[in-house]
Amino acid sequence: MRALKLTALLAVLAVTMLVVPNSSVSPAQSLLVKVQRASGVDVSPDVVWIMAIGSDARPGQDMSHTRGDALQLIGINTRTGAAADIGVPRDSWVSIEGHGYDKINASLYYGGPQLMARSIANLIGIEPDYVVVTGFKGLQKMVNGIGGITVDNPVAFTDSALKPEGFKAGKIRLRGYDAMAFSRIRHNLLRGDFDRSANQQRTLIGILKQIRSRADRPGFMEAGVRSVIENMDTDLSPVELFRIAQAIARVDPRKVTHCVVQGGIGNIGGASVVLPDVAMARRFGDQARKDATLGPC
Amino acid sequence: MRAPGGRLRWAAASVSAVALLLGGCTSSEDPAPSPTSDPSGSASGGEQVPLRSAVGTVSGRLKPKLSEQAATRVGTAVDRWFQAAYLSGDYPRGDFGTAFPGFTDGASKDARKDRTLLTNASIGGDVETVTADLRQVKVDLLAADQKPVGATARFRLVFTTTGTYAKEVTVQGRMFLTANRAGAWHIFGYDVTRASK
Repeated sequence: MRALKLTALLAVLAVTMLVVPNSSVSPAQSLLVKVQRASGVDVSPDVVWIMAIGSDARPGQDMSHTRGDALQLIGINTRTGAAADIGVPRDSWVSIEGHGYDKINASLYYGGPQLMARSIANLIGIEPDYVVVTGFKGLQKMVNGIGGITVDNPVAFTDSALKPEGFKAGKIRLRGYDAMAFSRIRHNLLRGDFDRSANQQRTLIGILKQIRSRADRPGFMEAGVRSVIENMDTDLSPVELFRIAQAIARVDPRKVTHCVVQGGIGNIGGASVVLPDVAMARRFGDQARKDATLGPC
Repeated sequence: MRAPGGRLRWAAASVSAVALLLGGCTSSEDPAPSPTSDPSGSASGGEQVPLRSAVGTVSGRLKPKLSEQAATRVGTAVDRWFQAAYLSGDYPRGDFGTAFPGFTDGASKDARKDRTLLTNASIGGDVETVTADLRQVKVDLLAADQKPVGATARFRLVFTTTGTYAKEVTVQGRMFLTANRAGAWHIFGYDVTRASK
C-alpha cells in the first residue's frame, strides 16, 4: 500500500485560498484530501520466471527452432512488484542435454523452448515457467506500439551497418528500429557480448516503464493481450495471458535489479565462445529465486 | 520457478509479436454508463442509488449482446464487493471477514492486508450509517473465440457515512477479472484508491 501525496500545486492553491482575506465570513472552500492507494495481482506462483529470447529468425523461419540472439531470464514477484533480470551471453559454452557442448543459444534450434528452458536451468539453477520468443520485427513493432522507450545509455557507440550515426551516452529516446539496433549491436562495445546483454536489459526496463505508464488507459491491457493471442504461437490460455500481462504491468521499475553472467572468452573449434562463470550464474539464481531481487552483480 | 505440477509454457511471437500490451485497436469507446438492474440489498443507510454498469472497450470479437451481458455480470461481481466491504452490514460494524466475495484466494489474501482501503474496517466502529451516492462500473473486455475471458472493471463508489466518522468517501480504481468456463467472473487483482472529505 502506498500513499499518494497531493501535488505541491494543489497544496499551494489550497493554502492560498484559505489565507486570502474574504469580504464576508464563510466556510472555507478548500479541502485537503488524503488519497491512499493499494494494488495487487494474484498470479501463481508468487515469483514467475519468464525466459525472453530474441530470435535471429529471418522471415518465414520457425522462431521456436532458430538460434536465440538475446537471452534474458526475468523473474517477477507478483506480491512486491520487484523483478530480476539475469542476462546470459548467447555464445555461452554449455552442456546441452542430448547434444554435448555447444553455444547455449543452439538449445532453441535443437529442442525448441523446452530444451532452452532446461539449458538455462542447468546454468542458473532456475527453470523458467514460461518462454517467450520474439523476432527483430516483433520487438520493433512492440516498441513503436507503446510509443517508444527511454534508456539510460552508459557509453556512446556506433555500428556501421545498424546505426552509423551511433547512440549518444545518457538518457536517449528510442523508437522501434533503434531499440532493436541498441539491443543487437556488440562489435563496437568494449566488452562485446556482455555489454550487449546489459543493453538488452536496458531495453527491457525501458519497455517495462513505458507499459506501466500506460497500463491504466482504458482497454490498453486487453488490446495488448488480444494482439498476443492473434500474433503469437503459444500454448497459454487467454486467461493465463491476461493474468500474466497484469502481473507484468505491476512491476515497479524502481525495483528492477539486473546482472549479466560474466565469463572468459575462448576459442573452440575455430569459433569464439564465452566460457561462463557458472558459480556466478548459480549465485544470481540463488539470490533471486525466492523474491526476484538480485544483490550486487 | 515452475508452478507445481505445471509444465513449461511458451510463446513465440511473430511479426506483430508481443506487441504486448499495446498498440492494438479496440472496438468500442466509453459509452455513458446506463443503469442496470440492481440485485443488491439496501445499504445500512436505506435505499441505494442504482448500480450503473456499462461496456467500455472491447478487444477481440464479441457480439454486442454478449458484451452487455458480460459487463452486467462483471458489474455485479464488483458490486458484491461494494456491498460486502462498505455498504451492507450492521453499523457500527467490526466484522469484515467476508468482505471479498468472488475474489480468488490469492487476491483475497492480498486484499485482507489492504483492508483499511478495501473495506470500512478502519472506520466501521465509528459509523452509524452508510449511504451509497454513486455505484458505477465501466468494463473493458477481452474476448477470445467470441467469448469474454478477461476484464478490467473501472469503478467509482461514493458513499456518505454518519456517526463519529461522518464523511463522504470515494473509492475508485480498477478491478481485474477473468471468467471461468461456466461464465462466472472472479477478481484476481486490484488497483484501488480511497479518499474521504
